[in-house]
Amino acid sequence: MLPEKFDENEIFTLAALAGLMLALYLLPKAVSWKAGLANGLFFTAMACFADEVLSAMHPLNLYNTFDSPDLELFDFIIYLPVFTLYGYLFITVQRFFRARLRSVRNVFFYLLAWIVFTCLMETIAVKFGVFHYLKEWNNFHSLVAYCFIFPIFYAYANWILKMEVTD
Amino acid sequence: MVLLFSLLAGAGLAYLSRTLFEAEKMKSLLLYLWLYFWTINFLRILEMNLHFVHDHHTTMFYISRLLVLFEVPLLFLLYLHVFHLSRTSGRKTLTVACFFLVFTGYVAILDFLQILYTYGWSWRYVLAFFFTDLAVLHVGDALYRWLDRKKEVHRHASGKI
Repeated sequence: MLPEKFDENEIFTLAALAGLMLALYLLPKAVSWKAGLANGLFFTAMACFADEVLSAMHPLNLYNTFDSPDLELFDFIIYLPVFTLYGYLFITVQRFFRARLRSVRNVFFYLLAWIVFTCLMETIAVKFGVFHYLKEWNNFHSLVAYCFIFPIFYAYANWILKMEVTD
Repeated sequence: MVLLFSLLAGAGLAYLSRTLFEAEKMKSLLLYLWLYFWTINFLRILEMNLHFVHDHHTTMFYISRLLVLFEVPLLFLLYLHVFHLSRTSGRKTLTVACFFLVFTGYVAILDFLQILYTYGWSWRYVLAFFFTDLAVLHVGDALYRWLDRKKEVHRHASGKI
């Protein structure tokens, strides 16, 4: 369960975690902890599901994470605190821009910004050895996957924000 | 049969748990996602790290397995609902015991249909799954109530109510 070697991929993960914690600390608290966590855990669950389908398991096994195909401690760190905080950040930012996200054009550019930023983060993560692409998987495939996933994230976050009002 | 069981069990569990999601949407959602995360990763540890469970599935078994992973959290949420309805500690213990039997039956069917393809039936899979998810569920539930209470106290103290 422990990493084979504590090197750049583990350091990148911890740096990403620190960056997300700092961002959420600096941003005003726009959503309740329930809404933030519900969205954060949805990001985590989607990441687990995507990894289950695309990565870890036979038959596809298109990419691996960290030092081995096995599950290790840093897989848990990237799933639980990192992806959860990323989801928390996503819904916080969405709450800020909610008034402006009325037109389809604005929503399109908003999602495009998130997709590009996430792709950029993934490219850096690949350079640092957090993800290891196998077979013919590459950044473009990830970009296509994000184009499908982020509208779902957006719709889900909207639903959570509506639920937060009535809860 | 493999896919049919997962679909029928999923439909049944979704139907039974719909009132939970209507009554306490946010709590049920949070606990469901929390349990899903731990269930999927616990199974992956069994498959990939410990090699207790076979991880080479055919497409049909694979889809069925994905469906089962969505169902297990619902089963535990229903148990938690009954657990909270039980007033005395005796009834709570009985609830846990009854749920253990239900869960054992469920895992036995998964094993029989080879959706959870173990190298041979063993009680350790049932016990490991049951107690891991049970612990995760109750920790999640306790954390939720603690955070909820803490925020309520904070809101009262700051005069927002």
